[in-house]
Amino acid sequence: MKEIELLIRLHDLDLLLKELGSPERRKSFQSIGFKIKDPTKKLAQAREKLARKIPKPLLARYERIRQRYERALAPVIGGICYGCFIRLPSEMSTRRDEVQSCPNCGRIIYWLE
Amino acid sequence: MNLSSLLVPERVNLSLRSKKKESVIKELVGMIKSGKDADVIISTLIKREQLGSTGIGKGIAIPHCRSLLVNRLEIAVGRSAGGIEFDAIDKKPVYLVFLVIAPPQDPGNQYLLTLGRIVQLSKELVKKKLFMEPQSPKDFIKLIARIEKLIDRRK
Repeated sequence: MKEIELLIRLHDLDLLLKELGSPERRKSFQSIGFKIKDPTKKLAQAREKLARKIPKPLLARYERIRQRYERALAPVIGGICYGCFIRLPSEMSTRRDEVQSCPNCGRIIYWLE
Repeated sequence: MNLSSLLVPERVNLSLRSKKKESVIKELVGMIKSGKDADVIISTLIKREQLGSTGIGKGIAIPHCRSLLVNRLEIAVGRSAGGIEFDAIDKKPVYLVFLVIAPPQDPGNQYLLTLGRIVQLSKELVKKKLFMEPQSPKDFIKLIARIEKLIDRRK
């Protein structure tokens, strides 16, 4: 699996943990009619397993950006980084499979067309 | 909010082939994304299911998650005449599945509103198994629109 794909999987898992991790947030889903168990233990294990597949320096970079911004990854749509809304140099789009950062905001970017 | 305005006939499958939860999720995600993007979303949806089935009972399931791989709310609907093993809270088979994928953040939290709307609609759709009546995706969307009008009139 490519590193960028692993990071997207990790980010989606972090979104799930964030959304259902706290009893208050979970309550809004439970009030609609869903029965949800506390995900902390189960998802933390899945997260650890996934994180082990990511090279340590890259994982550290992800965690560092996450501390600064709520989202460490930002999509690129129509050549624009949707983290900071700056147009990216077009040559970056030729290296889509690599892990690249937005030169303006520093978020890790992925192409979403 | 109107669910019918978010539905498109190309994403309504009234004769699902799959009979099991995981394969139904795959079939429905396949209407929205393909390749590796689909694999990532399927994996997140399955992790969500492991925290508690989204089979809310009376033959309805609403698998849902947020994903980086969509930039607006995406919905796919599937119906199965034979029923799907979905590990629903009432342990009964599921016949109608609404799959909802939302971006990480969405204006006005449309995600929660949509999920709430689907639950509200489902209560009407299960009456006399109304949801089994439409013969085409377009008719299905028309049925949803009709029920939404009824619900809104009651307010």
